[in-house]
Amino acid sequence: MSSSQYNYDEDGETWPYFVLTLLAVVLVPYTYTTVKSLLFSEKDATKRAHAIEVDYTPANAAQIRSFRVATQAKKLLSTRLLVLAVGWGLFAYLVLILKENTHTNAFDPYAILEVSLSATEKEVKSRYRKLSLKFHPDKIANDVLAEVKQSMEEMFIKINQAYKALTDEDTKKNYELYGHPDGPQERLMGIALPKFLIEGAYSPLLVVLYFIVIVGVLPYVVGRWWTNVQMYTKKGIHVETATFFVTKFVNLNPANMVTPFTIIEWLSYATEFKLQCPDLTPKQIEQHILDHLYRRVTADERSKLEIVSILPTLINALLDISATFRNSEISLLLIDLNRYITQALVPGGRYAQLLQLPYVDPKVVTSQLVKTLGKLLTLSEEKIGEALGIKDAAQLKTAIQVASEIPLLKIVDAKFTVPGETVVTSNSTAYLEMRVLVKSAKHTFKGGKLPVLKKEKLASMDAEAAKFENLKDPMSLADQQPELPAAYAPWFPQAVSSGWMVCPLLQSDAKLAEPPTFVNKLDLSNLELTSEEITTADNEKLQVGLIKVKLIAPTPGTTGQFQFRIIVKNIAYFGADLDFPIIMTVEEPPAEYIEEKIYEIEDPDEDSLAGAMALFRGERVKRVESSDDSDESDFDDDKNDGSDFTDINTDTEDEK
Amino acid sequence: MTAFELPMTYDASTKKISFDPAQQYEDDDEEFLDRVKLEIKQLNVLVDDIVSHGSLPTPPTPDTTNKQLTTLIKKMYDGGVKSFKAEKYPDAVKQFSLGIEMVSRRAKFESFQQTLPELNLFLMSRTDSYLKTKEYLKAFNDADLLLSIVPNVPENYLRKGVACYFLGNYEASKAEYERGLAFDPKNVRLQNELKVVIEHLKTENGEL
Repeated sequence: MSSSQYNYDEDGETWPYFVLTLLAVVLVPYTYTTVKSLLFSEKDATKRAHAIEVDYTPANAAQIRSFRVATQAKKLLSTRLLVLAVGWGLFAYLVLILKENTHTNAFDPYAILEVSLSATEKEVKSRYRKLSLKFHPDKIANDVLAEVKQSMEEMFIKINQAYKALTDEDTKKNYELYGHPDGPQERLMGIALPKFLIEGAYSPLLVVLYFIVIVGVLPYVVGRWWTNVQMYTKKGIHVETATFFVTKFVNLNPANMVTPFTIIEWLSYATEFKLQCPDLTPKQIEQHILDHLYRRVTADERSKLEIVSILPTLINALLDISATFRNSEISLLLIDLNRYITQALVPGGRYAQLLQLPYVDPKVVTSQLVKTLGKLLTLSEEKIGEALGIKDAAQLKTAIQVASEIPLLKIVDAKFTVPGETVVTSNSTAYLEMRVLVKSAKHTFKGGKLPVLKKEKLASMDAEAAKFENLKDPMSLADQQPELPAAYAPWFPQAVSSGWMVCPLLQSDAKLAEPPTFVNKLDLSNLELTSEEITTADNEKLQVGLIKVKLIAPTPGTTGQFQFRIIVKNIAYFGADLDFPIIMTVEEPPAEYIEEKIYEIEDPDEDSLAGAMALFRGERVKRVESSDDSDESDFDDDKNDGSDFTDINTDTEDEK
Repeated sequence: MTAFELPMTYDASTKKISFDPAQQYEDDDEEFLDRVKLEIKQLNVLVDDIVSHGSLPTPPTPDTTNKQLTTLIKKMYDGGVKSFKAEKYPDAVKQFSLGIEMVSRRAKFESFQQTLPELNLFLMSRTDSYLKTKEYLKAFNDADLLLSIVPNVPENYLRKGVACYFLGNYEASKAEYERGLAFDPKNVRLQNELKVVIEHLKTENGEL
C-alpha cells in the first residue's frame, strides 16, 4: 500500500506457502487413493478367512512367481508413484525452506530467552540475568573475531528486547497486539514471486510457460483423459473388442453351436492382445490359451501368462454383452469357461470336480467312476488315492484338504420378496432371496436330507429381515456377511476372486430374465464344523448364509404365476453350483395383514411342482408331504429300462 | 459396412445364380462369404422349385400344400407307428427318417404352417424310436430340434430329459424335467422322472 510499485518476494518468505498449499491440494487426495488401492488390492483377498492354502507347485511355478513379481513391480513403479515421490519430495523441501525462514525472521521472546510459554516473571528475570551476563558486550573476551563479536552484540540486543516484551507493560502490549515489541509493522502487499521472474530478463520466459501450460499441456491432458474414457467401456475392455464381440452376437447363427473353444477363438481377436503383444497373431494367442488349459509349459511362458491374466476381464465383459442379448447358453458357457481358465483345465468331460484338485493324475481320474467331490470324500483314504492316482501320502492329504475346503452350497429356502410387502406385488422392485447352507464335501447328510434347522432360527432371520433399517436398505443383511477369500487356483498367474454368479432364467423361453449378478459375500465358517456338528438338530454354530440379488426388471404388471429357473454358478470351483426352479406369484397386495401366510411363493404343499421343489430341498418340506410319498414310490422301480415311454408314442399319435 | 461387388453370375439357361469365390478376401470376411453362399444356395433351391412347378405358384395359404404328398407322408407315419407298436424299433427309425426326408423335400413355397406339424410329429416319434434303440445322442438331437420348433410341449422336455439321463448328464436331465413341469406342473410322468434323476444325482454326490 505504501507505493504503486509491487513488492516482490525476493527473500522467498511467502511463495513457499503458496506453492505448499497448491501441492497439498493435489497430493493429499492423490496419495489417499493410491495408498488405498495398494493396500486393499489382491493381497488382502488371499489372507481372508477360509482361503485355501496348501503346498502345491505347478510346473510353471517359477514363471508364475516372476510374473507376479513383475506385475507387482510395474504397479509400484507406475507413473502414479513417481509423481507422488517427486511431489512429496518437493513438499518436504519447501517445508525445510520455511523452517529456516521462521528461524531468522520471526520474533519470539520466549524462544530467544529459552523459557517455556508458561514461565513466570521471576523465571524470566533470572533467565534474562544469566543470558545478559553471557552476552554482555563488556564480558566478551578481546581475542574473538569481529564477526562473532557483532553477532553476540546483536544477540544481546535481542535478549533485551525479549525481556522487555515479557516484562515491560507497553512492549508486552505491543507484542500481544502486533506480534512485535516495537508496535505495528508496515503492512506490505506484493506478489509471491521473485522479482527476476516478472520484471527481469526472465519475464518472457514466464509468459511462454503460461502459454505452454494453457494452450498445450491442459488441452493435451484433458484430451488424453477423454480418449481414454472413450477407448474403454465401463467393463474395462477396449471399444474395438466390445464391438467385435457384439457383432459376434448379432450374427449368431442358431445352426452353429457355440462351444468353449469357439469363445476362445473370439477372445483371441481382442484388441487388448494386439496392444499387449503386438507381434503375436490371433492364432498364436489362441494357441497360448489352449496351452494354458492343457497345462503345457511353453518356451514363451511370459506371453502366455500375460495373455491368460487378461482373460477374466474379457470374459466378464463378454458375459455382460451376452446378458444384454439375454443369451443364457453362452452366458452359462462363459462362466464355465472362466473357471476352466482359472483352474487350467480343458473344457468338457465330467471329471472337472476331481481334476481341479492338486496332484491328481488326469488319466487315472478319467478312467474311474467317481465324478464328484461329495462321493470322493465318502471313500476311504486309500480308495481316494486310487481314484485320484496319487501314491504319495502327503500329496494325497493335500488333495483331500483342498477337496474338503471348497465351499459347496445347499439351498434351504428361496423366494422372491418385495421389501415392505407381504406378497410380491406387480410393477415393483423385487429381490431374489436364497438362504443357503455352506457345506464342505466331507459333510454327508443322511439320505441327502438337509440338517434340521431350528424353526426359531429361520423365524428370527425373517424377523431380522423385517426390521426397519433392513427394509430401508434391503441389501444390508447380505452385505454384512464376510467377503469371500481369493480362489484356490495354483495355475492361474494372478490371485483370482471367488464367488458365485446368480443367473435367473425364464422357463418360458429359457433366456436370461436378468443379467448375471456376482455375489462374493458369504460366511464360510460352516466349513470348520465336523459332520456330526453340522447334522445335529439344534446347532448354534451352524450358519445359514443369505444370497440376495436385486432384480433390475420390475415384477410383471399382471398378477399370476411366473416360472423361473435359478442357476447359481461358482466362478472358480467346479461342483459348487445350484440349479433349481422357482415360481414368482404376483398378487394384489392384501387388504389386511394376514400374519400366518407371509410368503406364498414357496408354500410346499401348494401344488405338485412345489412338491418337486420340496423333494429337492430335502427333509424339512418332505415331512409336510409324507402322505404323497407313499403313493409315488412305486414308480421308482422302472427307472432304468425306460419302459414307461411306450405311452409317449401313443400320445403323439393321438395328437394328430 | 463397405460396399463391394460380389463375383456373382446369372445363368439364364439353368436359371441359377452362381458365385465365384476365386477372388481373394481377407480372413475376416470368411464368415460373411459363407453366409452369402448359403443365401445364394437357398435362393437357387427356391427358384428350382418354382421352375419345376411349371406355372407361378399362388402365394402360400393353408391350401397350397401338395395333397398327394400329404397322404403319402401320412401313410409313412402310420407305417412307422405300426412298426413301433410291433417293437420293431430300428424299422420305425427308418420309416420316420424317410418321412422326415419326404417332409423336407416338399416344395419350399408350400405353406410352412401346414408342413411344420408334420415334421413335428415325425421328430417326436423318431425321438421315441431312438430312445428305444438306445441311440441316445440321436434322440437328444431330435428332441433338441423339436424343442426349438415347439418349446411349450411338456412331453418334449420329457424326451430330452430322458435322452440326457441315459447320456449320463443328470443335471441337464433334471433341468429339462423342471422346465417341462413349468409348462404343466401336474404332469405325473415328469414328476416321477424328476424324482428318479434327483435320486441319481444324490447317489452320484455320495449323499445316499
